[in-house]
Amino acid sequence: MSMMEATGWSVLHATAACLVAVAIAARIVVLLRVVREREAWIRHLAWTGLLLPLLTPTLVVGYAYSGVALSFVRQPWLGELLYTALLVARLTPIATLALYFAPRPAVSSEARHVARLARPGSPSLWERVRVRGRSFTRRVTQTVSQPVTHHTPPHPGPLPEGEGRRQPLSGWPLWFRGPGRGVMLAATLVFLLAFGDFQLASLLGIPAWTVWMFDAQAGGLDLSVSLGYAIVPAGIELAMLALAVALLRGRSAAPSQGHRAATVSRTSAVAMGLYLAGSVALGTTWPFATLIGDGVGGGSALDPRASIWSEIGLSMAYALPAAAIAFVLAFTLIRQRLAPAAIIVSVPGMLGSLLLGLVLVALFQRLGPLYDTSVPILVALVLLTMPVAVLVVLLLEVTRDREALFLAKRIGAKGRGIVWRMVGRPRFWALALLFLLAVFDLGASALLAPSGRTPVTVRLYNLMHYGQSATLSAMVVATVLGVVAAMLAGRGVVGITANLWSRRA
Amino acid sequence: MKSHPHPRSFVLIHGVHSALLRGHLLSRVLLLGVTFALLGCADRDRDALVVYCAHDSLYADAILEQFERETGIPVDIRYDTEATKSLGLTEQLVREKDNPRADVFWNNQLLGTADLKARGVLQPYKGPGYERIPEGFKDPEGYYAGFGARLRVYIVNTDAMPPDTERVDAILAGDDLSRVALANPLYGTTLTHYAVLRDLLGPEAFEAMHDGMQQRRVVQRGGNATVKDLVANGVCDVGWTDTDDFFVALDADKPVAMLPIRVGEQQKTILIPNTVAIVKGTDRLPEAQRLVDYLLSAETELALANAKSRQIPVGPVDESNVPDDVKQLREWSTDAYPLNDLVDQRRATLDWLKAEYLQ
Repeated sequence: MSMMEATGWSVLHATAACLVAVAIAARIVVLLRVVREREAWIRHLAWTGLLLPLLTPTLVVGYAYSGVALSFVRQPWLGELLYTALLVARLTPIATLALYFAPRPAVSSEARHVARLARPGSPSLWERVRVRGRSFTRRVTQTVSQPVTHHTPPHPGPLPEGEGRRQPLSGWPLWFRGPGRGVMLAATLVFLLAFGDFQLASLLGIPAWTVWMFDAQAGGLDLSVSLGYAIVPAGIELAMLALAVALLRGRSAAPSQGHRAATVSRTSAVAMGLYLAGSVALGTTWPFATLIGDGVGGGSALDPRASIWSEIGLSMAYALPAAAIAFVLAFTLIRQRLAPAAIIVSVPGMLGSLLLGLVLVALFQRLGPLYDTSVPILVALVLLTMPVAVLVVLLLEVTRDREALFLAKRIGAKGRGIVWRMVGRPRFWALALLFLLAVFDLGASALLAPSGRTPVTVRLYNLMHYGQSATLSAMVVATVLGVVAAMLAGRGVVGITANLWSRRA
Repeated sequence: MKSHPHPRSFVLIHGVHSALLRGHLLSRVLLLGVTFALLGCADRDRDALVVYCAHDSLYADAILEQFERETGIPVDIRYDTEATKSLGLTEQLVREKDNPRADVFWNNQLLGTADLKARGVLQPYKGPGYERIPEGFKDPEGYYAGFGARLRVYIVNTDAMPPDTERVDAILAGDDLSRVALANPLYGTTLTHYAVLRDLLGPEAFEAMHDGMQQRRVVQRGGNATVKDLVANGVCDVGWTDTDDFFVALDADKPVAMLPIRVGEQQKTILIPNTVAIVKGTDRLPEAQRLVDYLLSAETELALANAKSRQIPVGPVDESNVPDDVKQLREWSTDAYPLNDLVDQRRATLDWLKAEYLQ
């Protein structure tokens, strides 16, 4: 298979995943808005169901399904179906988050509905609607450079002179000014992530440009030739990135959490509930059940002195500083209102682990002394986590209740507990998310890890090509448990410290 | 307001938090720079012997750890991926030729190492280990030597068909190879297998053979372990693989049997030894020589023979310590196809395959 064919397959997979994921996400967003008004356990259940497949390491999912995919070798369409379903299960949460936190559209759904009704005979009504939207957009543009406030009310302002004489928008332009921008942003993000997938495609034996590139590079293709081949996929990724940046530039100031109370039919709620249950079963439960079932027998084979433990520690040693650096960098750039810089540092990470790894290999081979040290892999992990770091910091900033925080700080030591819950805890989990992303990276880590300092994912990936075995399953379970335990331990230490801090008030 | 003493851990966390998130931009940049510098400095042990190892880490780890324990020489290992077995490290050594990182290369096959010799990546060493290896498995000039070998075999699913050579030949000569599996020939021992076939058949007939298999829908996936899985799980009936992969399936109680692959009129088997070589430009030559001698010793060959991979000793060993499975393999390996002269064939085969697969 040629590189162009592999790229074509990747485009197909990404397009299919993005269409299905965004369609499902649009329904889930409504469900999430409904459950926002319900009991806490229902809210938690819905969000957990949504996020679990996303947080399940790809390596675990790919390994668990590798045997199934192998049995589809004579029915490749079944393999394609499985791969696309797994992509959808993993990326629907991304689309949902993008839609859920998307800026409030300039044209509301009511306005679009009224515009549709009014279009044939009553343009003046539409003009009012449109002008409201334009006026709102103008206000948004003005407030982008101002501190973001959660409670900014969308005030239409006076009708500008002569606005009503223009032709009203309809069809796609109207949709784009309504929910379209959020949908396009969600679709772009899903496409980018699906297009850059390497681990799942590789372990399931699915044709993809990333797999082709990795094998070609490992198989001795000259680095410059490899990078030459990467021009087409990189061009596709950059085009999608440009689209995402353009969509973000037209953002409004407030997230869409302030939408009016949403409603959802019982059938739709049941369907979405079933989807969430199904995606958790497909993307999390079944992989872990397979691993644990296999790994029970292999657990005894895990020698306490085995190198897997030091490799798990090493992966965490790479991931923790990388996550911290990415978080601090994102925090600094967002706080300093250096939006262009934040976008620039996010671009390399959006190109995907493999492409980034190849570029850094080329760079550090020229830099000589730093090649074959831990610096290249750290740089790669920082850059890889930057897009998520920027996104997470933006969300933290946007959703922070400034008035409550101000009041909590004003009451001094007694408000420390509140400050911790409002600021410290979200930041800890944001850092934990970045840590999780970095610790399970494969593409860049495989290319950049120094000799004798191989991260655990690279070792597991190598072993996974021997097929499933009890010992390997036990190693994967041990890795996941080790990482989760480290995160919980970190949470415990920080939580206890925060409690002591609060009590001493 | 009365101030209260804070626990030390809080002071630390709060201090780092404040420095990172509340400090000036310049101080944050400096802090990040210092972090990278510290991480770069606190890097790997520069005294360790760097070994590039294409042999499966499942088996190589134990050997190299034993070497560390016996000699006190620390070893840093870089493994290859199974799917691109050996070729990745071979090419990396070529790329790093002017600024070598590795001291020793433990390859899991011979022709790639011979190619490295031709490209000037290796340096010769004839120690006591080299002396015990028979002529057919080492470079006459001492650039590399072989040990612990594997045979190319047919792995047969015994639920689907009897392990019978005529039956396998009939299937391979048939119109439909959709139940026959082989690994990607760009890499590993399948590449060596292809080089042997090209040497035997000539370029045109060899390319026609490959195209013919493709047209008859042969299943070509991943590495030899994938082939083993395809056959062991009944997806395919027969495949080309190596003895070590076959034994993994056998030990897992899969319904499999093996037959040696024989080629040419003289019905030669394809025996592929591990090889070890010292990388030219190493600044840890004495340690590298010790590792080479260690790997070429009878003890290492016996350890590999008794491991789950059941590798075949190529040098003289105490026969009483050779397991029965390996004794059978040793019989098959006595009439193996000579590989030492196939360096050019391998390169030509690889060039052709790259043109076929990597465009």
